[in-house]
Amino acid sequence: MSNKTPTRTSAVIRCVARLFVCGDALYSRRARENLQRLGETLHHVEFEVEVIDVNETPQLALDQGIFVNPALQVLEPAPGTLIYGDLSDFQALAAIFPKGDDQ
Amino acid sequence: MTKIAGNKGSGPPGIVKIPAGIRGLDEVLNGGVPKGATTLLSGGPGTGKTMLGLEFLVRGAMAGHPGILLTFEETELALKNYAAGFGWDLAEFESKGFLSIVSARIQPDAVLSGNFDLRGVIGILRQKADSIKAERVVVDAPDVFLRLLGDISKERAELHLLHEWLREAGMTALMTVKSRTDQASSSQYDFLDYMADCVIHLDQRVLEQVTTRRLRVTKYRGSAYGRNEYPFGITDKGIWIIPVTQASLRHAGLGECLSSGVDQLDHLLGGGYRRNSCTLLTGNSGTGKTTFACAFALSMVSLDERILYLDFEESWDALVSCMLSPGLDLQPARDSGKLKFLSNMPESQGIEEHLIQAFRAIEAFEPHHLIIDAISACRRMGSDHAAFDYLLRIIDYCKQRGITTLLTNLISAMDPSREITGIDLSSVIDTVILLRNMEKQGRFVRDLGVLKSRGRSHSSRIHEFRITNNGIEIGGNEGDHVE
Repeated sequence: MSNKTPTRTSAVIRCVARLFVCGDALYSRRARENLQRLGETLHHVEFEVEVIDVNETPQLALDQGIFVNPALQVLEPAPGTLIYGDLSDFQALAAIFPKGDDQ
Repeated sequence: MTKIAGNKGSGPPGIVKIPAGIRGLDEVLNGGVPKGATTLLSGGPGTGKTMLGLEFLVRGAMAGHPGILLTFEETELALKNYAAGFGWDLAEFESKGFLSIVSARIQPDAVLSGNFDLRGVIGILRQKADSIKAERVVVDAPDVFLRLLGDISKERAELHLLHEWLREAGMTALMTVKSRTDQASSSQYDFLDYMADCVIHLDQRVLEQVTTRRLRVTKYRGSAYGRNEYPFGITDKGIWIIPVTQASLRHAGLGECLSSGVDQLDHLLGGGYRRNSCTLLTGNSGTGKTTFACAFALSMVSLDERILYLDFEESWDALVSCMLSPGLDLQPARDSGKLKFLSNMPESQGIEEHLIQAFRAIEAFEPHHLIIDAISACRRMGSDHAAFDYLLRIIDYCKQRGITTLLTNLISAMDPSREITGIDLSSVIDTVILLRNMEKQGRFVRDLGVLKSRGRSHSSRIHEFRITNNGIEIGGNEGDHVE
């Protein structure tokens, strides 16, 4: 990271996450849609999300101890967060990605 | 192992059962749990639900039936440590592909945002089931997980989903669920009782300050089952349920006469105590009940037969020194290994623990005869009914194995009108000998009479007897003998 004072354009939060879903189940589908909408709403967050279908590859969910679906496992920004649900409660999410002071 | 009462596979065609392998449970369930269906285990905290589920999988794994333990409450390590206490090495079953543990604990710091479901768990179950070819699944404490949903209709939908998957996958499943004591929430999971094919309730209660465990089957679709409450214990080798079953009707008949150790008493009884019979020596304090019991013990030891002595009233040292006065030296009998002595305070544990301890001793020692001194003390195991439960089971157990039982009973001096045992046991007792201490011409005189002796002619008179320093002497002055 650079030592420059952050400017309006560089105040972007990079979010690396995994979205655990179950095929095309209702809440899983909604989670995908809500995540998309979240990306469109939160301009200051840049999402890099890997979608993992637990039906096809359960091992990672098992290793990570993720038994609730859908679930968004946020790896970055550190220290990370685990979110259960279809991401329909935006307010709960906004608290995880606070906007910079200058916004 | 206990013999299952010969009714395996009973029930209408279509109900296939698999033995759970848990001691006594298959007897209560008339053969085992329903194959390819879900059995619900409900109970309060600490009643042994997880334990029963775990043992079901362990017994299966030992018999080559792979299983999955899905727990929402315990960590894998905690379960492994717990199992190790019963001598089960879960890691070994896992490495051999007979067990898979999935600890689906909820991460407490997770943020909730919107709706979610159990499908992920089912995905994981499916993968595990495929990889080890699982036949059994135990779902432990799903309520912990489901409470997160915060909505009973959603909980219900999720459980139905899980139940559907278990059924479609052909799993023989056990699901544990907490039953709560408060009325408001106890009905919350009632729908599970309707969903499951078999429902077992576990209970732990306190009777007269003695804690005791009970198991009851409340439902078994398409099958007969034992409908009573059964005491059970959690031993160091697993769960042990102690039913009184149909097996009682297949007791061996009475055998040959065995010397009571008192010649004249043998004569009064028409030869002695019958092998495989149950004899009760009943009387007030100081009438010589224990002396008669010890005379019998020594008589059997002299025939090279083993005898187990369960004492609820005194210690070995106290007994040995008391019996020296009538000339009965028990120490050599014990030293020879023919006499085994177990002494216990009745109130020290619930009846299931007492029974298991006795059964263990019987299985290890394989006695030909058993003495219980005194059954009146068994009331202190909780209640008259607890004493009855204990004695009925122990006599039943002995009769199935051809073990002769000799019981002593202290009649309360305050209440001589009580029935001979005070514990309603007369139907299982073959012979009753009443001992008395009567005042006669300014002195106490002991006498005895045979009140009942099944299948044998016996003296009907009262006979005086004396306890001398050379054993018991029965006088013939008050009665005639049966020839």
